[in-house]
Amino acid sequence: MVTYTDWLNLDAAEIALARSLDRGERVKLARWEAMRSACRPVQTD
Amino acid sequence: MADPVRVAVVGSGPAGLYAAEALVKQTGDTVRVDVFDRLPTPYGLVRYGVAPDHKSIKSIARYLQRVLENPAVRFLGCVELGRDVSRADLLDCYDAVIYSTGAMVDRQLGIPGEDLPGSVAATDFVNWYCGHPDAADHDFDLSVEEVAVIGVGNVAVDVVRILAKTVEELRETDIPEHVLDALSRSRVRRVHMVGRRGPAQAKFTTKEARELGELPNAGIHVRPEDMELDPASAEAAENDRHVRGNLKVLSGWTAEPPAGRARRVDVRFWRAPVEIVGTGAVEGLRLERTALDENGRVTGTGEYETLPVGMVLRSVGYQSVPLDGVPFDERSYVVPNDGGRVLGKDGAPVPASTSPDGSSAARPASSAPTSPTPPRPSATCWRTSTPPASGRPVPSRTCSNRAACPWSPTPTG
Repeated sequence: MVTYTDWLNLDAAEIALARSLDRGERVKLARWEAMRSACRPVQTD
Repeated sequence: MADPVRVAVVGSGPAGLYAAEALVKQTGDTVRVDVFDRLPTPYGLVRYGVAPDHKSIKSIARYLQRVLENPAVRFLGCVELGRDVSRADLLDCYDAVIYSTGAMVDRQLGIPGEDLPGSVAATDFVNWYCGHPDAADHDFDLSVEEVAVIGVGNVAVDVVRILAKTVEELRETDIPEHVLDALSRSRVRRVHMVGRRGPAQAKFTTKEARELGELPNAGIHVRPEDMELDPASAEAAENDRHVRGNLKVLSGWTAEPPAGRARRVDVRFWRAPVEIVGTGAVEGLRLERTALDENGRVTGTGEYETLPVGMVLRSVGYQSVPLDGVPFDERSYVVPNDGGRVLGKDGAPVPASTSPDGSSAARPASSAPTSPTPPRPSATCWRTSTPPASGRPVPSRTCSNRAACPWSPTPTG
């Protein structure tokens, strides 16, 4: 199950992707696996 | 405080979220709404239907986000009705269920050749360029030089525009990277948009049409003879602002477009598709010239032509699909309802029941809302025989199975 907080993580990942590609405000993640991973990113200190 | 009323909304598109908002506004602190979606992302058609280059419409998501941030509303993604949760589960744990899953599949043309490779439902193409995960691996043959789009609604215009734009024009949009890459290799040079009826009956909005005519890298043309109006159309042009606006835009496209444009769009009215031709794949689209008969109905004239296209995108309307365990009218493709309240086979309201909202209860619509004006849910149905008056709670039924619910229903507080 994906919560609203998980979705916000995905949302942030799409915004970060756009920045890294120098492409507008957002670039969508379209593959299930990438979306699931972005929902619950691995925490790195 | 008494238990709040629990409502499940199935589908987190605009209709579902506006329904959730309406519930919270009407009942204040006495309601808890769980919004389910089978995808990990909310906003439905706003995310997967609005064209990526329509940023102002997509900004509706910011409004909808406020609904999800209301403490009385929860988003529960990746939960699919019929797979992860049954209708019986929902009825066991919620006081009301609202279905807002929209119209998800294209209508068929019903002509020979429709199943050939290269004959594509417009929704599949839209889902692909909008980044829907179910369409991520779709493979569209963009090595062809000519494409036909059947239909003259806003979705058809969106598809034409995406095909006609250069990749530089799309780069600043949210199109997934692999889609942008595929579009960068497109060899499509000519797109035909085909309508069975005349210009006065075109469904696209004037704003969308105008935008199509303003593409810097694509010329657009409509044959002057296609613009001739029958008396009924002429009357509509006089009395209907939408028709008048469309005709004004279309009339500006009757001159040959300037040379040197990378791509060309031909809008063809009074042409009915009769066959998608090809051996093993689409090689052409056979059209019959149409006219209105004495009763104002479209009829074939016996005059044919074949467009040499390598792909056909069908955009002639959309229909809902049945939801697991929910009544469905196979003839009209809607959840049978009376003012929104779900009806069973006997025509009586389904007890302890469910409510389709404005999308699956109404006839399917092909366009997303273009302003933050909420689509009013057609009804809300409750466990009790009478819906509660605004602001007044209804008693919540005790859920026999609440502890076992996999989505952990909202605590009563």
